[in-house]
Amino acid sequence: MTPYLFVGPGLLLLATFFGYPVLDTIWLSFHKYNIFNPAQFIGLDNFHRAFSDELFLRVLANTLLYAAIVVPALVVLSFLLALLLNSAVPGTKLFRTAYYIPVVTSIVVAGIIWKWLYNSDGLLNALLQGLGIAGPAWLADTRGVGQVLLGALGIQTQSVWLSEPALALFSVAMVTVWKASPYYMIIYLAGLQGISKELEEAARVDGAGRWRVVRHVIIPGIRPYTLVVTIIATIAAMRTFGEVYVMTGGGPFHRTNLLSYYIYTLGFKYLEVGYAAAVSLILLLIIMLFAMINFRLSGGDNTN
Amino acid sequence: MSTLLPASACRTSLVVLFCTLVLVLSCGGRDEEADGQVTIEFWTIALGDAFADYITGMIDTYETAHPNVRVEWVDVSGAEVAEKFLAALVGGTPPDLANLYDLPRFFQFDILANMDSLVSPVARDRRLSIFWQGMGQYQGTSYALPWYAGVTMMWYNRELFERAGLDPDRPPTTIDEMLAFGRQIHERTGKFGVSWRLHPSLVAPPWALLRLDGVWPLFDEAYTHSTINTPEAALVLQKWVDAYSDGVLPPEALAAAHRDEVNWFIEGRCAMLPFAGGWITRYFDESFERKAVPVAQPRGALGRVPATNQVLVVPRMSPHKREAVDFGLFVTNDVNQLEFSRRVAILPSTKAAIADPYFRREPETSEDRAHILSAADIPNSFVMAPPDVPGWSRMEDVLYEEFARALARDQTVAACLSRVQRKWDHLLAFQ
Repeated sequence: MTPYLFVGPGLLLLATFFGYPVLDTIWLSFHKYNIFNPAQFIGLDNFHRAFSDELFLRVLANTLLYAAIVVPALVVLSFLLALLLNSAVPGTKLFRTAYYIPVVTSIVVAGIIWKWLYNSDGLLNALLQGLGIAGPAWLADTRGVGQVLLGALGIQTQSVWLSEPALALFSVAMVTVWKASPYYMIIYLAGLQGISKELEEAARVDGAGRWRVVRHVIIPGIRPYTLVVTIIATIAAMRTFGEVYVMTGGGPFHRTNLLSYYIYTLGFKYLEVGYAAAVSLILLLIIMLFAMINFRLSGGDNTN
Repeated sequence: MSTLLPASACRTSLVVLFCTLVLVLSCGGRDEEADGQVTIEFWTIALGDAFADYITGMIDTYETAHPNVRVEWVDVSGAEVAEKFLAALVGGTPPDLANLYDLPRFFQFDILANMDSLVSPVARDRRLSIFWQGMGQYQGTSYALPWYAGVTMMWYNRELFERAGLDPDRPPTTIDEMLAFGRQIHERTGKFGVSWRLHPSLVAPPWALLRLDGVWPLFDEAYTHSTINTPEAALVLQKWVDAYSDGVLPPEALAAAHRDEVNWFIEGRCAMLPFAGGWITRYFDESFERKAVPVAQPRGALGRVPATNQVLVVPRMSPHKREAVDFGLFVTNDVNQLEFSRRVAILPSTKAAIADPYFRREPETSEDRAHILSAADIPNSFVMAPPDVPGWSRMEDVLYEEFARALARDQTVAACLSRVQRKWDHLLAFQ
């Protein structure tokens, strides 16, 4: 009885704020429901509708692209930052604290500051102008990143292969990378400090340079941490909402619209709660799929 | 290890469990009246910091005159009021009286009390008819009490006018002239002409651009078909597409959010800001206040200027509709609205209050000038309420999306209008 009483309150909270909403979402996803009228059972219609809804497919593609930009960038950048801050240089503690500031900065504040930087006549374009490059309208540019880069070199192309991701989506993704990388850096830092110094010294004695130590000692040593970062970053990227809400409202013409924002629009603006629940479930399944793939790759089911 | 439960641990666990239950079960619910005492919940939008004394003063006066009514005031931020209102409705604890935005979302579900039946003709007649039939009216029925209002005027930056070689004492008087001036400003200074964003626009959303130039209505009378795809509509939208291409509008207009257009004007990025509300001067610093000048809003082919009004609604499920409406009429009466207008540059929605000499005073500040200008333009205004067609929220987003594509030269204006008409007709068919 004792253990049950100890875990009881926690379980009750979990059941109330997680279990019940999930079950309710599943129930709603099979209904047509607009809050004010009784729910009407429609079977799988909401799911059929989703996969024939052009906007949903566009938003789903945006979200996957967004994750494809954000996750690798976070894994690499956070690791490099951690490597840098793991060195015994003066002021390391100050830098660690300073680099963490974006994580605790409100997304509203961060979004507004980044909008200033991204303005067509903002700081970023002023810097580019100094290099003789005419900067784009970052958050409103619907050309692909490849098209913009080639355009800067004077090469104009309409290739569909270069039209994704749109520069606007890429620009929003960079804000996520800036804001979240210090968080993952801390995880990497913990991993780096767990790597035995003897191993690194032994590699150096054997003639390994800095890069070979990183490649053959450090990267394999922090592999579990890389997998944790990948899983968390993927889930977070798929659920991104604040950046879109504050910076673009999903525009221009849905090029920065992501699943969480779309669900919010469906549920709260159009009051299509059943359909919003179905799209939420699809998002949940995608996240679970990614988590399972990562879990398998990490050997997470082989704990012993 | 013993499996027996120690008495202290048992007690602690039970207390935690009990507190959790109390916490969970106490979310929601409201005190029921006792001894005939009625408690009404009153929601305002973002008035808590600056106008707390005004609101609480009104409540105190009302409670003194009505000892059986207690008013609980809740101030909600503008960005989340519609969502909170929805959540409260679903939870069965809606406010009895609420200042609410984005009413088209709620109209078609018949959840708001009908004010035509709850408000006497005498009280109705005290309100300006454009506001009584304004933001709160849906298909001929009023679902809201009009509160404070705003009439669009225009702020312009004298310094940018001078730098662009324009006469700073001769601001534009028509929309076409405003766009022409904007073109010159962009060419000569690199700044943008008009502070405008697509979605959701404080200045004028795409359907309002059409209305300002006389392209209205956008649907047939029975709401079975849209009538937006006309040569007249194409001309108006083309004008704005060209303006966007020529740098009259900032490129970020396509993907901006919240109050960006106000910020762009104050930052000196844009030279002109059509806007309802002299209150933005609170964001001006001293040097900017010298540059920013309010003038009457440039006219389109319609010859009238847009106005908006805040509203107070009473949910149908409120158990205290009569008391809520009575308190709402008190909040929006001549005296209280005039007092509110003296505190901040807003306009009252009642006939007696707007007739007060205060709105014809000698201006001392630019906020005063804006206030007086907008008050003077009430007779020339129309309330910028969207079409009262069911499912408007989704239709509006269709227009935003297609017009954005046209602005970005991703499609022609003709294709934009054709696609909007087809999608709107499709949505109408499934209402």
